Amino acid sequence: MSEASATLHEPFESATRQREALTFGVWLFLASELLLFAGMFLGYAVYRHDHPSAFAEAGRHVNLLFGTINTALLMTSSLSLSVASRAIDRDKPGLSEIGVWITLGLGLLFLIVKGLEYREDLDEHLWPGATFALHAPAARIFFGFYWTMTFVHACHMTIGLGLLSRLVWLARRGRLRANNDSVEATTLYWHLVDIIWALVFACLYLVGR
Amino acid sequence: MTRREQTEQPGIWLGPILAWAALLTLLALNVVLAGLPLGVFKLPANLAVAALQAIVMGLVFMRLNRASWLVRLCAVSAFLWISLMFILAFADTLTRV
Amino acid sequence: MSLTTTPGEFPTADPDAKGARPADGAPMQQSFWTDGGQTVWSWLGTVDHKRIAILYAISITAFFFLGGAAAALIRIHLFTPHGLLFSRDTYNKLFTLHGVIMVWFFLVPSIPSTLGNFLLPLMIGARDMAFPKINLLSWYVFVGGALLTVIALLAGGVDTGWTFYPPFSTIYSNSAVTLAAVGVFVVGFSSILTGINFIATIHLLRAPGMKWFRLPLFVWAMYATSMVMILATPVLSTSLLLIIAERLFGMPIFDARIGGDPLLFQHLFWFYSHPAVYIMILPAMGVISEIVTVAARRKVFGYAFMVYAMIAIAVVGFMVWGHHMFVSGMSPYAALVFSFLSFVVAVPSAIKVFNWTATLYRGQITFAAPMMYALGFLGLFTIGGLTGLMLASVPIDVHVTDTYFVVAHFHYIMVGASVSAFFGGLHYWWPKITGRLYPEGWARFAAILMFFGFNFTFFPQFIMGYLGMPRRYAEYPAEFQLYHVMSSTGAMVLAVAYLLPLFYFAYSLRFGEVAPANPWNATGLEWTVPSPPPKHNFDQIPHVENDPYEYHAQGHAPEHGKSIHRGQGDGPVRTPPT
Repeated sequence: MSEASATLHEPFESATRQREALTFGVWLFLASELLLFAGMFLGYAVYRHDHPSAFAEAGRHVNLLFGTINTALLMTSSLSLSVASRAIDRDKPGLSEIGVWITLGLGLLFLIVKGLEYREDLDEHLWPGATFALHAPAARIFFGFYWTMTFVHACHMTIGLGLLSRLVWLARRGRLRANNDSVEATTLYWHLVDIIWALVFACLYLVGR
Repeated sequence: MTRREQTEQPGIWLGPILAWAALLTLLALNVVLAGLPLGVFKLPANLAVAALQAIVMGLVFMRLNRASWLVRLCAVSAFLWISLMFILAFADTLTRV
Repeated sequence: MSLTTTPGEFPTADPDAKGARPADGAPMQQSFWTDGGQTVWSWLGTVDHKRIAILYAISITAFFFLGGAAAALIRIHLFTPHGLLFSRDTYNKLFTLHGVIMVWFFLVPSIPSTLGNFLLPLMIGARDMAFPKINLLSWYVFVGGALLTVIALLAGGVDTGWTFYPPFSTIYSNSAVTLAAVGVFVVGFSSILTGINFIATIHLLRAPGMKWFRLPLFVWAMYATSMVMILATPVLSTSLLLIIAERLFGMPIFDARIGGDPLLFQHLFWFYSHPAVYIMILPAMGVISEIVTVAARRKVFGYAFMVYAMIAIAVVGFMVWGHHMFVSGMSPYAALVFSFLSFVVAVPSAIKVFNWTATLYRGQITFAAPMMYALGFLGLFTIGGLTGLMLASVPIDVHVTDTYFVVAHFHYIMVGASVSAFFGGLHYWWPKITGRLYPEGWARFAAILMFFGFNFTFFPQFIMGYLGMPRRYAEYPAEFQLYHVMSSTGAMVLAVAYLLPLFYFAYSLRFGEVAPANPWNATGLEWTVPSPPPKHNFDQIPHVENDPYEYHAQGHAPEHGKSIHRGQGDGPVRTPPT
C-alpha cells in the first residue's frame, strides 16, 4: 500500500487512517478558504448588480491578455502537480519531483506576469486613489475588488509556492516518499487556489468586453 | 479510497491530461463568449463556464470523484454555506426599499 | 487491562464527601504535568493537548481579567450621570477594549480551547488531537494575534466598538483600527485551526466501540462548535480584510459616497458574528449536559434530541444574522425572513432547556459547586433566550435597538450562561486536570455570589433599556441613575465572585486534597484515567461498550430519597473490558 510509506505520527495507529485524517483536515481548511473568498465574491456580486454600467466600463480597462495567459499557466501548473501527486502514490518519486519543479516554475511565472500586469495597471492610473483614470464613481469600487481579490489570491499563490519549495527541499533529500502526505496536502491547496482563480478571472476579466 | 486505487489503478497521465485539455478549451470558450454580444446572458454564460472549470478541477485534480464521503461532505457543505450567504444577503439587497 | 490506578475501587457517589480517599495517600504520580519535562520549553514546545489546554487557560485567564478590568472601570464611571472617570473618547475606547477582548480573546476560545482541548481526546478514547502540531500552532497564532490587538487597544485605543462598522471604522475613526483588525484577523486562523483539529479528531480518532451516538454531549457540542468555527470565521476574516484594505490602501469598498454599501459589511460581519454567539454558547450547553446528568445521577433525557438540537442550532444559527440589522436600512422583506428564522432557532434551544429540566426530574440531585453553576446557567440562559425572542420580533427590536436592553440580553447569554458554564466546567473537571480537589464551601459561595451579582448587574439594564437608555454613552439623564447605581454595585459583587476562584483554585493547587480518578463517580472515559491524566492518556486504547450517562439501567431511575450505594447497579461506571 502506497500510503504505508508515510511516517506514522503519534495519535494514529494506522497509516491509512492518518492519511484519511490529513486529506479530511486539508479539505476542512479548504472549505474555510472557500468561504473567505466567497465573502469577497458576495461583495463583488452585490456591487455588480448595483452598478452594471460602471463595472462594465471599469472591466474594459483590465488586461484580458495577461489574465488569459495567467489562467492558462495556472491550469497547466495544476496538470503538472496533479501528475506529481499521482506519481508519488504510485511510488515514482522521480516523476513526482519533476512535476513539482514544473509547477513551481509555472507558479513563479504566474506571479511575474501578474507583476507586469500590476505595473501596467498603475501606469494607466487604475489604482482607485487621487489620480484614478475613470469617471464613473463606482468604477473605483470595481478596482477596489480587482486589487483586493487579485492581491489576496497572489498571497495564496505565494504560500503555495512556499509549500512547493518545501516539497522540492524534501525531494532533494530523497524524502518525498516518506512525506507523500505533504504532497497530497500541497496538491489540494494548489488546486483550490486555481479554482478560485478561474472564478476571479470570470468575474474581473470578462466584464464589459 | 485505498482499496479502489489498488484494484483499478487509473493511469497517472490520462485523467489529468484530459482534464487539462478540457480546462483550456473552456478557457478559450469563455474568452470568446465574453466578446460576443450576448446581452444579459453573457454573465450567466461566463459564470457557467467558470463553474464547469471548477467542477473539472474538483473532480479530476482534487479527486473528488474518488474521495471518501467525508471529504465530499466537506466540499458540499462549503458550497451549501456559500449559497446560504448569497441567498440571504441578496434577499436584502434585491428587495431593499 | 488496567486503566486506573485504583481499579475496581470507586469513591463514594456523594460529591459532598469526595476526596475522602486521596488515592491511597500516594504522592502525585507521573502525569502530563511532570512527564515530558519541566522546562519552559517543554511547555512552549509541547504538542500534548493537555498542556496546550493549560497554555490556553493561562492566556485566556489573563485576557478575562483584562477585559473584566475594563468592564469594572466602565461601571465605576457610570455611577453618576456625568461620569466619574473618563472623557467620552476614553470611554469609547474602554468599551471597545472590553468588547474586543471578551469576545475574541476570551469567550470564543474559552471552553473549546481549554476544556475542549483537554477533554476531547480523553472523552473519545484517543491519545491526542489528530494534528498535535497544528494544535500548538493555533495557540501561538492566538497569542500573537491577540497581543497585536491588545497593543493597539491599550497603546492607541480603538473607538469603533467591537463591531468595526464602516464608514466610521474606515473613513472617520482616528484610532488604531487597522492594527486591532489585523490582530483579530490573525486570531481567526487560530479558531479555524482549532475547529479543523476537533472535527478531524472526532471523526477519525474515536476509540473502538465509541459510536456516534455514544459520544458524550460535550463532544457533540465541540463538533457543532467546530462546524461554526470553520464555516463562519473565514467570513469575519473577509470583512476585516476589506476594512483593512479600505483603511490602509484606500480601496473604497464600503464608501457610500461613490455607491458603496456599508450594510454589506454588516452582512459579512454578522454572518460570522451571529454564529459566533453559538461558538460561545454551544460548548456551554455541552458542559451543562455533563454536569446535570452526574449531579442528578440520571441518563440525559432525550439524548438524540440533544444531539439534533445542537446540530440544528449550529446550522440554523447561520441563517439569522439579519436580526442585528433590523433598523440599519435593510429591506423590510429580508427583515421578515430573518425574524422568522430567528424564532426558528429558538426551538432547538428550548428543547435543550426542557431536556435538562426533564433530566433533573426525580433525580438524586446533589448541589456541589458545578451543579450550582449549572442551575445558574439554566436560569440565566432562559432569561437571555426569551429576551432574545423579543429582540427577534421586529417591532420590539425597533423600540429597544441599541439600548441597554440589548446589552443585558447578550450578557445574559454570553456571560450569564456561557461564563457560568465555563466556571461550572472548570470546577467539575478541576480534580481531573490538576489532581487536586477545590474547597467546596468557597466554590459554592462563589457560585451563589456570581448568580446574584450577575442578576444585580444586568437585570436593571433590561429595565432602563426598555425605558430608553441607549448603550455606548459616557453620560446619561439623571432619571436613569438608580438603575445605573444598582448595575454598578452588582458589577462590584460580580467582580468579587470572579476573583474568588482565582484564589481558591490557586490554593487548592498547593494545599487541596489529592483527587481520586473519579471523584464524582461519573461515567465517561476521562474518569477512567488517573487524575491528572498521564502524558499519553490511555495505556491501552479502551473499548467502549456502553451508552453515555449510564447512571441507572434503562427505565430504572433511582427513586428519589433512596441513597445510592456504589457497586449496587445504580451507578455503573463505564469500565473497560478486562
